[in-house]
Amino acid sequence: MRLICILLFCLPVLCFSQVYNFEHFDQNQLKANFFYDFDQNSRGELFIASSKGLIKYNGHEFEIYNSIDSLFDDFVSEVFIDSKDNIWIAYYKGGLSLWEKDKAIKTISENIYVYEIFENSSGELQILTEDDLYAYTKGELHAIESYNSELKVIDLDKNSSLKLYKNQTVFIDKDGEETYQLDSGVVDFAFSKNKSTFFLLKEDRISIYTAQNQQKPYFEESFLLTELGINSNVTAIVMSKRQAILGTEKNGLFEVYLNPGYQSFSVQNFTNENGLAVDKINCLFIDREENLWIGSYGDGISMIPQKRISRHALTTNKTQNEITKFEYFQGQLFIGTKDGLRFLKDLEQPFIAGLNGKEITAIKTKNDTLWVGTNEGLFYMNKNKVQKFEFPLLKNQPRVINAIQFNGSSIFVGTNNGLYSYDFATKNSIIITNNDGLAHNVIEHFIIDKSRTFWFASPNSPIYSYQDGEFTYHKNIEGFKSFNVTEIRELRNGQIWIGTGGDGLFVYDKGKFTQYTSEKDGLFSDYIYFINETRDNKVVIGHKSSLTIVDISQYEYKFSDLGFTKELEYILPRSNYLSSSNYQWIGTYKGAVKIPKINNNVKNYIPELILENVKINEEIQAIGDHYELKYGKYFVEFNFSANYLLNSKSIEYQCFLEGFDTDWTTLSFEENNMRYQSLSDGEYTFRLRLLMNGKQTNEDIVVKITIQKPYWKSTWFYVLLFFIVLSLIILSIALTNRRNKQIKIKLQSEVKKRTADLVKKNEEVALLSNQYLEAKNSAEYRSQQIEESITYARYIQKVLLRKKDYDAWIKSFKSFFLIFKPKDVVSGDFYWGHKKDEFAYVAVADCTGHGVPGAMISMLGASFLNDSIPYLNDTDELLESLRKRVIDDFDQGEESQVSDGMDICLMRLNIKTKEVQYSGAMNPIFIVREKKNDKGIEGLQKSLENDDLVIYTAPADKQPIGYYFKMKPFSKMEFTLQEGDQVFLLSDGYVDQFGGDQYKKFMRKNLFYKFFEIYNMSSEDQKKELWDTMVTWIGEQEQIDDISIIGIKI
Amino acid sequence: MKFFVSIIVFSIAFSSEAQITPSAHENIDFLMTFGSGADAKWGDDDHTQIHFFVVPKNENSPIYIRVYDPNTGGKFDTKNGDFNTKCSYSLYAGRGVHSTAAARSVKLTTGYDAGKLILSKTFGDSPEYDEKWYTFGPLNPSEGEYSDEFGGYIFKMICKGMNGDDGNAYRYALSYKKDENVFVEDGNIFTYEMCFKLKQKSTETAHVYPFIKDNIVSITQRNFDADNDLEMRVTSIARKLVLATSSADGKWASNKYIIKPQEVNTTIDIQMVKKSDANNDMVMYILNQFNEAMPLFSVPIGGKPKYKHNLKVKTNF
Repeated sequence: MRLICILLFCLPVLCFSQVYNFEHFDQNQLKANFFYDFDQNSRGELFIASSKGLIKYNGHEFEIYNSIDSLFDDFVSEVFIDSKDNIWIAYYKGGLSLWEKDKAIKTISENIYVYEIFENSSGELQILTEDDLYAYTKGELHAIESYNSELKVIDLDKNSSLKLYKNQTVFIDKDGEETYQLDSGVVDFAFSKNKSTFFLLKEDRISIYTAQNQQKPYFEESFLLTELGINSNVTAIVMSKRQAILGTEKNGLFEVYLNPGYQSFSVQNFTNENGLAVDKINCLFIDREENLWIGSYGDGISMIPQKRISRHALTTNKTQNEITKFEYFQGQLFIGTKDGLRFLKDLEQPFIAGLNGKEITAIKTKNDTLWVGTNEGLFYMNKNKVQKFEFPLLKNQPRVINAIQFNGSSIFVGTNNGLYSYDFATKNSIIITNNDGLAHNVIEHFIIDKSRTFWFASPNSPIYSYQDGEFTYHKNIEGFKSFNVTEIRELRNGQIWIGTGGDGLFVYDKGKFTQYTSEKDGLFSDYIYFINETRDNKVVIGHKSSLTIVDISQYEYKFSDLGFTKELEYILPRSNYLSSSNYQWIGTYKGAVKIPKINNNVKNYIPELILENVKINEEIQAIGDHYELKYGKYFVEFNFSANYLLNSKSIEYQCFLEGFDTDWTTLSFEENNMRYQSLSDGEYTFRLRLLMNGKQTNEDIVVKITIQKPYWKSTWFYVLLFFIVLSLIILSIALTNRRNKQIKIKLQSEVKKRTADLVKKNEEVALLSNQYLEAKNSAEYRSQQIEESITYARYIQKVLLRKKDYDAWIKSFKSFFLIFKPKDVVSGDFYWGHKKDEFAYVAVADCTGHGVPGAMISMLGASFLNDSIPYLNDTDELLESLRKRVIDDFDQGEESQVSDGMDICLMRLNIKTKEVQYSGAMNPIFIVREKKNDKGIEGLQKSLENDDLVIYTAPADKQPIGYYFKMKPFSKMEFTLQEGDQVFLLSDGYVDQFGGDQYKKFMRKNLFYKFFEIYNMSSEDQKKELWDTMVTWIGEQEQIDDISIIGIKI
Repeated sequence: MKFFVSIIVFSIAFSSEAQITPSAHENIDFLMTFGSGADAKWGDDDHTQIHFFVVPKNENSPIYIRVYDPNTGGKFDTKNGDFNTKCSYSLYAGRGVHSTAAARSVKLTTGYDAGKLILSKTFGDSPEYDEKWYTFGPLNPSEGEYSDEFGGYIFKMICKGMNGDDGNAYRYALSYKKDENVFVEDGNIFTYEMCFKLKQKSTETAHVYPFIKDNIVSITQRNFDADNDLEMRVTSIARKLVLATSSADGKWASNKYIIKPQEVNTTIDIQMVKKSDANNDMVMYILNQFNEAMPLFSVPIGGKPKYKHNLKVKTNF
């Protein structure tokens, strides 16, 4: 007897609302509403035939191609991608186009009506139309003569094919054997991937056949569609593994799963009520990721992921959908929520179990009692009655219950106030708190393992345990930094698995903790919400947004994850349950999530990372692994893709260009290109990798780029340059040597010549030297003679100046001194004196020039005065006479070139009356008088005074002795001196002498100060002081002029 | 031709009645198709009725074709003994739906059902469909056969009396929605031969509105099984209440009219005035001078024709 067991897992009438993680794409995204076919290329891109064009989907973007893009018509009814990735496009209104890879779309035919395009087992493309079967060879369609009204053909293997004919018969056509009819009344069929199983769809039923090992397919079973709950026309059928998936016109989608033995089916129906957005299904497709694509007739496209996850909402009440705990009790699944306890019966319909308004925080079964912890105390349910449990003899009853465990005859309850215990045998209650050794009074979770060791999870506490009255704190566990234990689970093998909030997983085995992390071992995340052990040596670890499945059957654990699953985004800690049929129930803020057959879902699809092209200076290059470029600056662009239809957002790319980048660049799934500008000469290695959920999934794609160095940077150039330089150096040295030799020879020749010349010159020099010595001796001799002459001239001058009445004249004065210091041997200055009656004449003159010429003039001057004094008395007359003699004798005048002459001051002192007559040519005389006696001197002005003394200056006429262009008669001044007055006559040699620290003239003013200083000195001391002063003033310098001073004290 | 299309579009763009047939303008309650076992004298000569639905070419949204009271059993249907009739509704789309000459013929010759059968449904006397709308669709407008003449995609619905001898009374609607009649902008329904139920009450006047294109020289109206219960007349812009021939029970009758220049590009109103209160189902179509059937629209294109008096006024001043 045939056993038909049809399990209806899901009926849309349930009030336990169940929604699957379907993805729906509407007209706004697709730009079309009616869909007729799907296919996928080797790159993972999905192509969709629609009435508005051919749509391409790469996981994040839909792109539509229509007649503007060279399609023959917008209305595409079929798309087929052959093994060479060529896209064949058939049109609803007739016509066929071919879109070859990297080429423009071209129209193959405008008037054939294509039913089916397929590749036979030999790889030949065949096109089945309403009238004929065509092959496409050499760019043309050729009708195949054997066409016999086939509607659909598929090769079972190289020798046999299954053919569906227009008359709804199905035949097996095997080479070398007679074609035989397999079935009739067939409208469509679907194959498993390996073609070992296929379903035949009839008007009212589906039949299953198996065809293994090239044997004749044999009939397995047949089921009425109505038996499967299908009451609508079936519009599409595909097969995935052991499932036939049927799209219907009105009843949504049916997954018919063939149970082992082929004698029973399980049926799952997806409709609007459990998340399927489309209404009328028109086409189905299973992509390489095992996602099921559903093309609707007017309602867009839906996608059902391979990882079929359903979310169940208990009610419309939000808090009742926050699922905190699961527990299987007396054949029912109890679900704890934030708002009371529910349970599910056979058809998963939720029933209220009680404790409404209370948050269910812990559930545990013990014998026939369900113990329920809440935020308002501990309850137990027995025989459908819920009662509160009070710990006997305890004053403080627990309020917030976090965990319940049993050990022997005792119940242990972890609370926010410590560990409560009640022994049903002894009826004793106790509380253990941090005073007794707990790390924290809040016990968020605890277990009791087989060895009766308690393992605790408390906030901000280390992992710690309790056994036989002793607490053990497991401090210094390497890698445990968060002090946040979120889950503790004992496996059947006795290991303690400890989940943490941030540090991953710790496995305690034989006294040792081993850490497993996301980075090191492949956990999806280091934040663990629950740990569960399956019945086949796998451990399921819950994370926010995914699960990690650990295969513990091997010595080294193998970690794999479920991939990003948005249904788990709102996961709650330690809220999970593994059903006997391996369904994983997980509690979230938004209902219960059910993941079926989790053991089979550990394989994740890894999209292929494709380097689409490499552009160098905007030109697309053929894909290669090494590009060698000539020297220059290059703009290099890498375009790549990885098409992940399920969740493209989980994809990231990483790029690194060795020789250019310093670190990896991470790009989102939309940024599928990388550009490098101005790459210059060097070696570059481009590395590209694909990340899924932040983890690398494939080996790096490596492309090398070599940009040649310019010739001036190349080794050969350096070598050449070296040799050139070396050669130049050698050449230079050689040339230099040669030149040096030549120079040497030349020099030697020159030296010889010069030597000869030198010898000759030496002889000449010697000759000249002798002449020079002779001349020198002669000059020295003459110089000596000159010097002797001058010295003698000095003597003559002295004699001339000191007449025989010199002493008498000196004695005319009370006190007298003379400073007469010629610059050279003879002086241009001269002094003159004469006594005539009661008058004493005194003059100091400074002749033009100095040295011998000056001396000669001075001698003339003195001589002229001597000649005139006998005849003349007044000073002005004497000066007039002196000027006349100078002008006459030197023949001076306006036209004369001779300007010799002298400056002179001439004083006549009446010895008795002290009356003075004075005339001066350019040279004044100075009178120093004591202030106490001073009544002023008529005609003279005060030049300087201090407290005691005053100096009068008798000015001279502003004309020299000699020709002057504004000559006028000399004047004379007459005034009377007093006893004590001192008269000074001098040439300009003293005051004009340069010297001192700043090499300045001595100046008349300083002489006046000197006069004040020496007033009271004797004449000898005055003379000495004045001369010493001048000597000091001159210092190392040179006397620039003759110096003559006569001082007379009245 | 363009003028013709523009008139159609203009005239029906604002008319929701255009998308339910029969319409209030026709003053006809139901279309009729009798079971194949029914005698033609019941008012159906071929037990088949063909209607064409036009969806504008720019329409992207799914559309629905709805049938009111599709079953044969209930107060609107014509009962002949017990209800034992099944009628199939077959919806065709694609190439040849309308362009095939046979599809436009009033004779059921080979090719009348040309096109791709996309939906089909057979109804018996199931009460669940009685006085209710049944919806075909959604339909992709682009799947219809494009007609430049009608400015859109054409679908074809064939209602065929499968067996039995009762009369199936029904209506069609073209809608945006599957569960209510939201009319498709610029959509339209027409047929080349109409089998329909006249209103029962005497003096009720049914109308048929052929449109006179500029290539029409003459028209011939043909009616079947009017049971001598009608006074038929023709009115146009150029003629007023010109009598037409009405048929007897189970008989055809016809008469021909030469088209006047004023009548070109206007609609002619063929009126059928009920003489008695008897039930009466009949058939009507119009042929042009080439014996080609002319499309009958539910709504007179350009409005109902109104005779213009050609009075000559003499004045003497």
